Amino acid sequence: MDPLKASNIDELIENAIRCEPFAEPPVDFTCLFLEQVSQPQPQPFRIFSWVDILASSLLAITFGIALTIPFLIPDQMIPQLSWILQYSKYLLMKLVFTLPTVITIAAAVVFSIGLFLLVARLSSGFFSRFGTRQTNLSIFY
Amino acid sequence: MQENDEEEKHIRQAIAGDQHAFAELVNTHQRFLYNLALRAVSNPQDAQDITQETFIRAWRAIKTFRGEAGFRTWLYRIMMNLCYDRYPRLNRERDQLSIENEDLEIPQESRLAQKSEQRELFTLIQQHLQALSENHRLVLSLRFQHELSYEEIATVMSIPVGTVKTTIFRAKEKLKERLRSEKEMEAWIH
Repeated sequence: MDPLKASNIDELIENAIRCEPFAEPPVDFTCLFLEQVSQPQPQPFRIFSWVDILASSLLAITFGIALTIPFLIPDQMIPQLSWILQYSKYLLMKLVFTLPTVITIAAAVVFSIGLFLLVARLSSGFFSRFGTRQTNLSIFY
Repeated sequence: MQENDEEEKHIRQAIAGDQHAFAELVNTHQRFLYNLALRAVSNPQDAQDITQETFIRAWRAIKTFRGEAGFRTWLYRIMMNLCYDRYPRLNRERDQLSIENEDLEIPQESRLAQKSEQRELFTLIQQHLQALSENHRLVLSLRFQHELSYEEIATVMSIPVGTVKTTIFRAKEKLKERLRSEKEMEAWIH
Protein backbone atom coordinates (compact mmCIF):
# COMPACT_ATOMS: atom_id res chain seq x y z
CA MET A 1 0.00 0.00 0.00
CA ASP A 2 1.23 3.52 -0.81
CA PRO A 3 2.23 5.66 2.15
CA LEU A 4 -0.65 7.82 3.38
CA LYS A 5 -0.56 11.59 3.61
CA ALA A 6 -1.58 12.95 6.99
CA SER A 7 -4.58 14.68 5.38
CA ASN A 8 -5.86 11.34 4.16
CA ILE A 9 -6.11 9.97 7.67
CA ASP A 10 -9.29 11.99 8.20
CA GLU A 11 -10.92 10.29 5.24
CA LEU A 12 -9.59 6.96 6.38
CA ILE A 13 -11.08 7.41 9.85
CA GLU A 14 -14.45 8.43 8.44
CA ASN A 15 -14.54 5.44 6.14
CA ALA A 16 -13.37 3.07 8.86
CA ILE A 17 -16.31 4.17 11.03
CA ARG A 18 -18.73 3.96 8.08
CA CYS A 19 -17.57 0.43 7.32
CA GLU A 20 -17.73 -0.80 10.90
CA PRO A 21 -20.33 -3.57 10.92
CA PHE A 22 -23.38 -3.28 13.18
CA ALA A 23 -23.57 -5.84 15.97
CA GLU A 24 -26.65 -8.03 15.90
CA PRO A 25 -28.97 -7.50 18.88
CA PRO A 26 -28.67 -10.42 21.32
CA VAL A 27 -32.46 -10.64 21.72
CA ASP A 28 -35.51 -9.78 19.65
CA PHE A 29 -36.67 -6.50 21.16
CA THR A 30 -39.97 -6.81 19.28
CA CYS A 31 -41.00 -9.85 21.36
CA LEU A 32 -39.69 -8.26 24.57
CA PHE A 33 -41.67 -5.11 23.86
CA LEU A 34 -44.91 -7.00 23.16
CA GLU A 35 -44.43 -9.11 26.31
CA GLN A 36 -43.81 -6.06 28.45
CA VAL A 37 -46.73 -3.94 27.19
CA SER A 38 -49.21 -6.81 27.43
CA GLN A 39 -48.48 -7.27 31.15
CA PRO A 40 -50.71 -5.20 33.46
CA GLN A 41 -48.71 -2.45 35.11
CA PRO A 42 -48.56 -2.92 38.92
CA GLN A 43 -50.26 -0.14 40.82
CA PRO A 44 -48.03 1.82 43.18
CA PHE A 45 -48.66 0.79 46.79
CA ARG A 46 -50.59 3.47 48.63
CA ILE A 47 -52.50 2.96 51.86
CA PHE A 48 -54.13 6.39 51.81
CA SER A 49 -55.17 8.46 48.84
CA TRP A 50 -55.13 12.26 48.78
CA VAL A 51 -58.95 12.20 49.17
CA ASP A 52 -58.55 10.32 52.48
CA ILE A 53 -55.94 12.77 53.71
CA LEU A 54 -58.13 15.76 52.77
CA ALA A 55 -61.27 14.30 54.39
CA SER A 56 -59.47 13.31 57.59
CA SER A 57 -57.79 16.73 57.81
CA LEU A 58 -61.17 18.50 57.53
CA LEU A 59 -62.64 16.18 60.16
CA ALA A 60 -59.70 16.70 62.52
CA ILE A 61 -59.87 20.50 62.12
CA THR A 62 -63.65 20.47 62.80
CA PHE A 63 -63.26 18.38 65.96
CA GLY A 64 -60.34 20.49 67.06
CA ILE A 65 -62.30 23.73 66.71
CA ALA A 66 -65.36 22.21 68.45
CA LEU A 67 -63.22 21.09 71.39
CA THR A 68 -61.23 24.31 71.80
CA ILE A 69 -64.13 26.79 71.46
CA PRO A 70 -65.39 26.37 75.12
CA PHE A 71 -61.90 27.19 76.43
CA LEU A 72 -61.52 30.25 74.21
CA ILE A 73 -64.79 31.99 75.12
CA PRO A 74 -64.32 34.82 77.71
CA ASP A 75 -66.22 34.39 81.02
CA GLN A 76 -68.18 37.62 80.45
CA MET A 77 -69.77 36.17 77.29
CA ILE A 78 -70.97 32.89 78.82
CA PRO A 79 -74.31 34.25 80.29
CA GLN A 80 -75.08 36.00 76.99
CA LEU A 81 -74.37 32.85 74.93
CA SER A 82 -76.38 30.75 77.34
CA TRP A 83 -79.34 33.10 76.90
CA ILE A 84 -78.96 32.96 73.05
CA LEU A 85 -78.95 29.15 73.15
CA GLN A 86 -82.00 28.99 75.40
CA TYR A 87 -83.92 31.46 73.26
CA SER A 88 -82.94 29.53 70.10
CA LYS A 89 -84.18 26.32 71.68
CA TYR A 90 -87.46 28.00 72.58
CA LEU A 91 -87.91 29.34 69.01
CA LEU A 92 -86.99 25.96 67.51
CA MET A 93 -89.52 24.10 69.63
CA LYS A 94 -92.12 26.67 68.68
CA LEU A 95 -91.35 26.44 64.94
CA VAL A 96 -90.57 22.76 64.45
CA PHE A 97 -94.16 21.59 64.16
CA THR A 98 -95.34 24.34 61.81
CA LEU A 99 -96.01 23.64 58.11
CA PRO A 100 -93.26 25.93 56.66
CA THR A 101 -90.61 24.24 58.83
CA VAL A 102 -91.67 20.74 57.79
CA ILE A 103 -91.56 21.81 54.12
CA THR A 104 -88.16 23.46 54.59
CA ILE A 105 -86.69 20.36 56.30
CA ALA A 106 -88.04 18.08 53.54
CA ALA A 107 -86.64 20.43 50.86
CA ALA A 108 -83.27 20.51 52.66
CA VAL A 109 -83.11 16.69 52.76
CA VAL A 110 -83.96 16.44 49.04
CA PHE A 111 -81.42 19.18 48.22
CA SER A 112 -78.70 17.40 50.25
CA ILE A 113 -79.31 14.08 48.47
CA GLY A 114 -79.22 15.87 45.08
CA LEU A 115 -76.02 17.70 45.97
CA PHE A 116 -74.39 14.47 47.14
CA LEU A 117 -75.31 12.68 43.87
CA LEU A 118 -74.03 15.64 41.79
CA VAL A 119 -70.68 15.74 43.61
CA ALA A 120 -70.33 11.94 43.27
CA ARG A 121 -71.06 12.15 39.52
CA LEU A 122 -68.63 15.03 38.96
CA SER A 123 -65.80 13.43 40.95
CA SER A 124 -66.32 10.12 39.13
CA GLY A 125 -66.05 11.98 35.78
CA PHE A 126 -62.93 13.80 37.03
CA PHE A 127 -61.17 10.58 38.08
CA SER A 128 -62.01 8.72 34.87
CA ARG A 129 -60.83 11.70 32.77
CA PHE A 130 -57.49 12.06 34.52
CA GLY A 131 -56.84 8.33 34.70
CA THR A 132 -57.12 8.09 38.48
CA ARG A 133 -58.46 4.73 39.47
CA GLN A 134 -61.58 4.41 41.58
CA THR A 135 -59.51 2.44 44.07
CA ASN A 136 -57.91 5.75 45.02
CA LEU A 137 -61.10 6.52 46.89
CA SER A 138 -60.78 3.47 49.10
CA ILE A 139 -58.84 3.62 52.33
CA PHE A 140 -56.93 0.33 52.00
CA TYR A 141 -56.01 -1.59 48.83
CA MET B 1 -39.76 5.94 -0.31
CA GLN B 2 -42.12 3.02 0.19
CA GLU B 3 -40.33 2.22 3.45
CA ASN B 4 -40.98 5.77 4.65
CA ASP B 5 -44.68 5.48 3.78
CA GLU B 6 -44.84 2.18 5.61
CA GLU B 7 -43.12 3.71 8.64
CA GLU B 8 -45.46 6.70 8.65
CA LYS B 9 -48.43 4.33 8.53
CA HIS B 10 -47.06 2.35 11.48
CA ILE B 11 -46.41 5.56 13.42
CA ARG B 12 -50.00 6.74 12.85
CA GLN B 13 -51.36 3.34 13.94
CA ALA B 14 -49.08 3.31 17.00
CA ILE B 15 -50.28 6.80 17.99
CA ALA B 16 -53.83 5.41 17.76
CA GLY B 17 -52.77 2.72 20.28
CA ASP B 18 -51.82 -0.21 18.02
CA GLN B 19 -49.11 -2.18 19.86
CA HIS B 20 -48.37 -4.39 16.86
CA ALA B 21 -47.74 -1.39 14.62
CA PHE B 22 -45.25 -0.12 17.20
CA ALA B 23 -43.68 -3.60 17.33
CA GLU B 24 -43.04 -3.24 13.57
CA LEU B 25 -41.20 0.01 14.29
CA VAL B 26 -39.20 -1.74 17.02
CA ASN B 27 -38.27 -4.42 14.52
CA THR B 28 -37.05 -1.81 12.01
CA HIS B 29 -34.97 0.25 14.44
CA GLN B 30 -33.77 -2.25 17.08
CA ARG B 31 -30.41 -2.91 15.37
CA PHE B 32 -29.54 0.79 15.14
CA LEU B 33 -30.62 1.52 18.68
CA TYR B 34 -28.79 -1.43 20.18
CA ASN B 35 -25.58 -0.42 18.39
CA LEU B 36 -25.86 3.17 19.56
CA ALA B 37 -26.43 1.93 23.12
CA LEU B 38 -23.31 -0.23 22.78
CA ARG B 39 -21.35 2.87 21.77
CA ALA B 40 -22.66 4.77 24.77
CA VAL B 41 -22.20 2.17 27.50
CA SER B 42 -19.82 -0.47 26.04
CA ASN B 43 -21.43 -3.25 28.08
CA PRO B 44 -23.75 -5.56 26.04
CA GLN B 45 -26.06 -6.27 28.98
CA ASP B 46 -26.47 -2.57 29.82
CA ALA B 47 -26.94 -1.79 26.12
CA GLN B 48 -29.72 -4.39 25.97
CA ASP B 49 -31.46 -2.95 29.05
CA ILE B 50 -31.22 0.59 27.71
CA THR B 51 -32.55 -0.41 24.28
CA GLN B 52 -35.49 -2.22 25.86
CA GLU B 53 -36.26 0.68 28.18
CA THR B 54 -36.01 3.14 25.26
CA PHE B 55 -38.70 1.27 23.32
CA ILE B 56 -40.99 1.18 26.36
CA ARG B 57 -40.50 4.91 26.99
CA ALA B 58 -41.06 5.64 23.31
CA TRP B 59 -44.30 3.62 23.36
CA ARG B 60 -45.54 5.57 26.39
CA ALA B 61 -44.62 8.88 24.74
CA ILE B 62 -45.62 8.04 21.16
CA LYS B 63 -48.57 10.45 21.32
CA THR B 64 -46.11 13.32 21.76
CA PHE B 65 -44.24 12.44 18.53
CA ARG B 66 -44.91 15.33 16.14
CA GLY B 67 -42.77 14.18 13.23
CA GLU B 68 -40.58 17.31 13.33
CA ALA B 69 -37.49 15.08 13.49
CA GLY B 70 -37.20 11.60 11.98
CA PHE B 71 -38.60 8.75 14.04
CA ARG B 72 -35.16 7.20 14.51
CA THR B 73 -33.71 10.55 15.63
CA TRP B 74 -36.58 10.78 18.13
CA LEU B 75 -35.75 7.28 19.45
CA TYR B 76 -32.04 8.18 19.65
CA ARG B 77 -32.93 11.26 21.71
CA ILE B 78 -34.99 9.18 24.14
CA MET B 79 -32.10 6.73 24.42
CA MET B 80 -29.51 9.43 25.04
CA ASN B 81 -31.67 11.08 27.72
CA LEU B 82 -31.98 7.67 29.36
CA CYS B 83 -28.20 7.19 29.18
CA TYR B 84 -27.59 10.64 30.68
CA ASP B 85 -30.01 9.81 33.50
CA ARG B 86 -28.43 6.45 34.26
CA TYR B 87 -24.81 7.38 33.70
CA PRO B 88 -24.12 10.80 35.27
CA ARG B 89 -20.49 10.58 34.11
CA LEU B 90 -21.69 10.61 30.49
CA ASN B 91 -23.77 13.69 31.26
CA ARG B 92 -20.84 15.47 32.94
CA GLU B 93 -18.57 14.72 29.97
CA ARG B 94 -21.28 15.98 27.60
CA ASP B 95 -21.44 19.28 29.52
CA GLN B 96 -17.66 19.48 29.33
CA LEU B 97 -17.89 19.31 25.51
CA SER B 98 -19.74 22.64 25.41
CA ILE B 99 -17.14 24.27 27.68
CA GLU B 100 -14.31 23.09 25.43
CA ASN B 101 -16.05 24.63 22.41
CA GLU B 102 -13.66 27.01 20.63
CA ASP B 103 -13.46 28.57 17.19
CA LEU B 104 -11.74 25.88 15.24
CA GLU B 105 -11.21 25.59 11.52
CA ILE B 106 -13.03 22.41 10.70
CA PRO B 107 -12.07 20.77 7.39
CA GLN B 108 -14.73 19.44 5.01
CA GLU B 109 -15.58 15.77 5.28
CA SER B 110 -15.28 13.59 2.24
CA ARG B 111 -15.90 10.05 1.20
CA LEU B 112 -13.16 7.87 -0.21
CA ALA B 113 -13.89 4.84 -2.29
CA GLN B 114 -13.06 1.86 -0.12
CA LYS B 115 -9.95 0.05 -1.26
CA SER B 116 -9.29 -3.53 -0.39
CA GLU B 117 -5.82 -2.75 1.04
CA GLN B 118 -7.36 -0.31 3.46
CA ARG B 119 -9.32 -3.00 5.23
CA GLU B 120 -6.63 -3.87 7.74
CA LEU B 121 -6.13 -0.19 8.47
CA PHE B 122 -9.88 0.09 9.05
CA THR B 123 -9.72 -2.71 11.59
CA LEU B 124 -6.88 -0.93 13.39
CA ILE B 125 -8.82 2.36 13.44
CA GLN B 126 -11.93 0.59 14.72
CA GLN B 127 -9.90 -0.90 17.56
CA HIS B 128 -8.53 2.53 18.52
CA LEU B 129 -12.03 3.98 18.37
CA GLN B 130 -12.92 1.89 21.43
CA ALA B 131 -10.27 3.75 23.44
CA LEU B 132 -11.93 7.15 22.93
CA SER B 133 -14.30 8.62 25.51
CA GLU B 134 -17.99 7.64 25.22
CA ASN B 135 -19.09 11.06 23.98
CA HIS B 136 -16.38 11.19 21.31
CA ARG B 137 -17.28 7.68 20.16
CA LEU B 138 -20.95 8.62 20.13
CA VAL B 139 -20.61 11.71 17.94
CA LEU B 140 -18.36 9.90 15.47
CA SER B 141 -20.74 6.96 15.33
CA LEU B 142 -23.84 9.15 14.96
CA ARG B 143 -22.18 11.14 12.19
CA PHE B 144 -20.52 8.44 10.09
CA GLN B 145 -22.12 5.13 11.03
CA HIS B 146 -25.71 6.28 11.61
CA GLU B 147 -25.33 9.09 9.03
CA LEU B 148 -27.09 11.80 11.03
CA SER B 149 -26.72 15.46 10.13
CA TYR B 150 -25.02 17.88 12.55
CA GLU B 151 -28.45 19.29 13.46
CA GLU B 152 -29.83 15.83 14.19
CA ILE B 153 -26.82 14.96 16.37
CA ALA B 154 -27.31 18.26 18.23
CA THR B 155 -30.96 17.29 18.85
CA VAL B 156 -30.09 13.77 19.97
CA MET B 157 -27.29 14.80 22.34
CA SER B 158 -28.86 18.10 23.48
CA ILE B 159 -25.78 20.16 22.58
CA PRO B 160 -25.32 23.10 20.17
CA VAL B 161 -24.52 22.39 16.50
CA GLY B 162 -21.17 24.19 16.88
CA THR B 163 -20.23 21.84 19.71
CA VAL B 164 -21.12 18.84 17.55
CA LYS B 165 -18.72 20.05 14.83
CA THR B 166 -15.86 20.77 17.23
CA THR B 167 -16.42 17.50 19.10
CA ILE B 168 -16.20 15.52 15.86
CA PHE B 169 -13.04 17.44 14.97
CA ARG B 170 -11.48 16.82 18.39
CA ALA B 171 -12.48 13.14 18.40
CA LYS B 172 -10.79 12.68 15.03
CA GLU B 173 -7.71 14.52 16.27
CA LYS B 174 -7.50 12.25 19.31
CA LEU B 175 -7.91 9.21 17.11
CA LYS B 176 -5.19 10.50 14.77
CA GLU B 177 -2.85 11.04 17.72
CA ARG B 178 -3.38 7.47 18.83
CA LEU B 179 -2.89 6.17 15.29
CA ARG B 180 0.34 8.13 14.83
CA SER B 181 1.76 6.47 17.92
CA GLU B 182 0.93 3.06 16.45
CA LYS B 183 3.99 1.33 14.95
CA GLU B 184 1.95 -0.35 12.23
CA MET B 185 0.79 3.07 11.05
CA GLU B 186 4.27 4.56 10.85
CA ALA B 187 4.97 2.63 7.70
CA TRP B 188 1.89 4.04 6.00
CA ILE B 189 1.96 7.66 7.11
CA HIS B 190 4.47 10.26 5.90
